Amino acid sequence: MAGIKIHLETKIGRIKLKNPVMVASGTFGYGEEFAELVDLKEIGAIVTKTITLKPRKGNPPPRIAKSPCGILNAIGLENPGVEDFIKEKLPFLRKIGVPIIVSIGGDEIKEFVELTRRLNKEDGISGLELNISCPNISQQFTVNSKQKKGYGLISQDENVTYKLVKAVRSISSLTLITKLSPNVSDIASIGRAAVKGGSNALSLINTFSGMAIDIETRNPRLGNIIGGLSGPAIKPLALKAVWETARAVNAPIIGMGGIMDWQDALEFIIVGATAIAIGTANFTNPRSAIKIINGIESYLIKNKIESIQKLKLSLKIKSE
Amino acid sequence: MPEMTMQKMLQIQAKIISNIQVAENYFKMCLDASAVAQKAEPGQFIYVKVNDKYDPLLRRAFSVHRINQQPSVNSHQLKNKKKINQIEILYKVKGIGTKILSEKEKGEELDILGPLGNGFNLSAIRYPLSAILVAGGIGVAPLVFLAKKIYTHTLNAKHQILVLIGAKTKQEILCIKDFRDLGCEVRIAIENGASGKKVLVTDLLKEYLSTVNPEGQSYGTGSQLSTVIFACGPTPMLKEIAKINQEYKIPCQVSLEEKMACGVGACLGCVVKIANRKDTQKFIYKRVCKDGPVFEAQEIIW
Repeated sequence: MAGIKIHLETKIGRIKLKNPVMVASGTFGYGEEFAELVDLKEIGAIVTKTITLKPRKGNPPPRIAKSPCGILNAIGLENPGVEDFIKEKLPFLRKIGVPIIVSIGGDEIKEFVELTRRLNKEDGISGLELNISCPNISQQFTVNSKQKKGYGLISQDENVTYKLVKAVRSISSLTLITKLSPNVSDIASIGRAAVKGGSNALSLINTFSGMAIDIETRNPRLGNIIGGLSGPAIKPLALKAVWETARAVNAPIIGMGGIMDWQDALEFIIVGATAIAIGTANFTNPRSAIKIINGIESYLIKNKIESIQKLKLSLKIKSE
Repeated sequence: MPEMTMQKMLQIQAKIISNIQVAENYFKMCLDASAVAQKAEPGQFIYVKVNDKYDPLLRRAFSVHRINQQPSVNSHQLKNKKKINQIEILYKVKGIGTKILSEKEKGEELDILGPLGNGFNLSAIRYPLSAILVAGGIGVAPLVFLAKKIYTHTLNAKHQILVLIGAKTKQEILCIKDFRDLGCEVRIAIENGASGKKVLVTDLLKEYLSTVNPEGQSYGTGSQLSTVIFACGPTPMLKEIAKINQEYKIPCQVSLEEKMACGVGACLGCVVKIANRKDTQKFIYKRVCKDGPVFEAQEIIW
């Protein structure tokens, strides 16, 4: 198929990506950890590990437990805090030459607002991903003027999700991406609330809450007792969440959840994802993102599809 | 982007040269992995994808047991020019990943990352050395490479190495010959020995430290050799060593194991509690895969 120019470019809010393959928050550190193994400038965009206002220690080990075709993790947002991130990690990220999306997290709306104010001042950040869906921390938030605490996540509440996104939107012109939890009854409604609040795009899904037990000791296999399940085990569930949400919102979706190869990636694009993110596959093969970019390109060439945009939401459903 | 020559870790396809059973449930695999072998230091590990399937999903970590200088199986150019090009790993079949590995045959290829992690620190030590190597079970694997490295570290120095090996049964005591061939003194402890008396490798260490050092002098009284303990084995064993050593305060390096995901320091899955030097009431987490797997025993909060 020599001569065909294939267009892999895509857009998330104001961020232009040269290809739709990103690396997911928490699975790729701050880029530098993989620099010796991966040609970072080939990746569509890099989403950093979640940053909080103050440094966080994270959860007690063990933080990883094996699961069939998946991994349970309970890292608990260990990170050096926003000031150290800006000083120690951002300079390297800026030099890579691909869009950098900083994932931010916190317990309350005002922490997200403060983080955004701080990051607004820095060059080389293309967008913010609002991590309101980490299953391994408990977020405090106000609902009906009552303080709620426990395993509650901001992204499990439409109202708080809307308020949080709106608060961040009002102080930043950066592209905002809201990362949603699948641990809800109706993910599309949370997605709608985020977009209504001013989110330019949605990332979905974060991990599924899960557990594993050592029956000899009867201890949980994770220090945090519960953790988040990722990997190929959750791919069908993630795909359905993207399909449902893509039809409900008028905003680009970054699809993720168990994408291991280019075939998986294409499934997400066909059900409506504008871009996709690689998570757990970075652990099994650091070069997964690059292999997936190459695989998508070959598929488009082989099928004479000149642009990835033509594939988006192209699901064919047989009518009766 | 770092230049290729700057690369410390690599991802390569390594051909299996041999994969032989050395005891019940224990195997030794030799890999043709020139680029990784040349960079590997004792205590570092390789991170192996045992197949291309999703179960087991994650790679498996194996410490480097030996590096060999053999003519490459693929290249005739190297025939006369001997070059380090093989990595050996010694492993115990514990679960699905190691079971699959044990069934691999000569000629098959494995996707490996390596060398990973920070190995034993041989630079901050005073030589000549009186090294005490303590191995528990499969923890013996990296210590053979270490012993060899110590003997070649400063060639003219007269190093002494005492190896204490412990295991549940006699057949699980491995590598005695490897150590003796290098010139080490070897003592063994069998938990379920024929005598019926339970002996732990930490008992051997305690006994040894409470008597004398190889120079015939008590510790800390002006021996010409500087003593260092290097240990690898189950966490309770390492913890006990650290406890015993509180009295002697000998420099002690331990190699830890923890469940890991990425292997390169990105996911923060494999952390261990480390004492905060500035504030002893507090701790920090360090990554076993990147900051370790070897740590100073005293910096760990057991």
